[in-house]
Amino acid sequence: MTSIKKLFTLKDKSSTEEKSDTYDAREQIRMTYYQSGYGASTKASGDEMTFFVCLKNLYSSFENLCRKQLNEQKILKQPYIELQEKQRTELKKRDTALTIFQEETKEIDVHIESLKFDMVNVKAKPGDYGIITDKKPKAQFYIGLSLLIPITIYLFVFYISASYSAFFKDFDNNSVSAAIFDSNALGKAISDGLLEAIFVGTIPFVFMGLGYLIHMFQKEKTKISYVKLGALLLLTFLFDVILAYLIEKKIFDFERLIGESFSPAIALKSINFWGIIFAGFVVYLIWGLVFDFVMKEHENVDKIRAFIRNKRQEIRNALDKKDKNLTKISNLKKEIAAIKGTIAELQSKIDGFIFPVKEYLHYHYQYEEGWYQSINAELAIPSKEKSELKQRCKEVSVKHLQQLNLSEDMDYQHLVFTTK
Amino acid sequence: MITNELKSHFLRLYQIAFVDDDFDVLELQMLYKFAEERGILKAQLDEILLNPSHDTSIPKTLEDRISYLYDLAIMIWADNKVTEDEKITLKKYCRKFEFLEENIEEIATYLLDCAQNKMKKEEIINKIKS
Repeated sequence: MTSIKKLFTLKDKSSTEEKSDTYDAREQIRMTYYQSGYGASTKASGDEMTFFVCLKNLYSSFENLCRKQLNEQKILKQPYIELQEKQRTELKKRDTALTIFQEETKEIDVHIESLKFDMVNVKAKPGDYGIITDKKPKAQFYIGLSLLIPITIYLFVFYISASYSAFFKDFDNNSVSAAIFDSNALGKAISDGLLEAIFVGTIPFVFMGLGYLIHMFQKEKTKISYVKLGALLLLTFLFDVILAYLIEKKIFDFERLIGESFSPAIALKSINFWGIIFAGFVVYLIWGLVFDFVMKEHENVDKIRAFIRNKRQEIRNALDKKDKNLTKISNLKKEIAAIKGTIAELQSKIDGFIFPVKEYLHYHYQYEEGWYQSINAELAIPSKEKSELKQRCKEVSVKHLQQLNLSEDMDYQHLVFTTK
Repeated sequence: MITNELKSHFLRLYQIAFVDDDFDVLELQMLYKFAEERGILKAQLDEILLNPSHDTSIPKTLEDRISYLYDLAIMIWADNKVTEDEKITLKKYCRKFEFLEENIEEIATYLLDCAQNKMKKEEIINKIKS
């Protein structure tokens, strides 16, 4: 076995001999054409008809020679082979790009499918997506809302009435029975003055605000927020107590006998006092809890909606990317088709035969020169006739080249005969 | 900066991958792995693969030539099979890298055997240099 080191020996760079050999051979051929023209002209006495046939023979034999010179053809075809190889590389590149993009598009499709599945599945199993919620947040939200609205109306009515009774109402015989609840509280407050109406009309909002704050504080599970929560509840309770106390005092003052004076002890023993507190504060507590519950359910519904919105946006982005990929793929396919066309075209040139026009013209003129030299040197005729003969030969030569569509002005060096 | 030589190397690598007309995902992954080994990012490799041609150049030193050819041999084994076309292409590159004509067949076989046995590149280069 050859040793590994020997196996990986590099070539010596000395392959220029071949080229110089080719050059010598060509010089040899060039001289032969001149001599051949000279000899044939001598034999035919420079006759133009013979010259025409000789040129035709010259062309045929040169063409035959070219076809047989496989090595020469290989050299001539080399640029086409290299070009074809380059094109093949380009084709491979595009094929690779196509595979990359197609693979990517497939991945996008799978991703879109999974996003669509998530959008449907999140409603059934929100927990799988990190959304902690009840199973039917929407139904619970609407149930909570349907409870919250009447309770809110109740609180409005109650606090408008209670605050009016506590702060502005003058008790008379008819109104003692409606001490706590006065059905005309808002109307009376409006007729008493704008500020009074605003005062009793906005007081319920203070309680709603307190309820909202309770909800917000509950969100933060810190000690401070629990303290704040307790303070708020206490504050609301005190407010209710004050309202109840004021109403109770007004009733007492209206009904009191001489020598009696109102005191907290009397208030605590009064059923009205506790009635006001329960009808207000306890309902307020219920309102706060229902409100909190409704808000939570709303957030849950919203979380799922936000998740779906998010996924929808992701799908849109993925589709955009897919569109771009598809455009790239279609462009690549077009390019691939074009490159394949070029490769096939080059292949037909490679399989075909390359006629070296310039080289042929060179030999053609050598032959022609030999022909004229022979007329000049070998023919014993007057020089005027010689000139006429040469002129006729020149016309024959031009006609011959025209028939072959060959001329000095051609802007290419080779004529390619393809296999097609 | 990625040299022309390195770009040419990746060009050859995916030409090899494509020889059997079926660009396997494993081969693509292998291509990315090679890129990573040479500090080329995925995006940069995509850029090389997707962008128009540049002049191909062959590595200068013997070590580099063997190293690149061995990468090609590993790439051929990426899909766990060696097709005749792949071997022909490997031989073509051996020829391009200017190894002696009479050794081409043996070099290709040797490198493919080493790749099949998962030999380390350094091991092969050391053997040749010793």
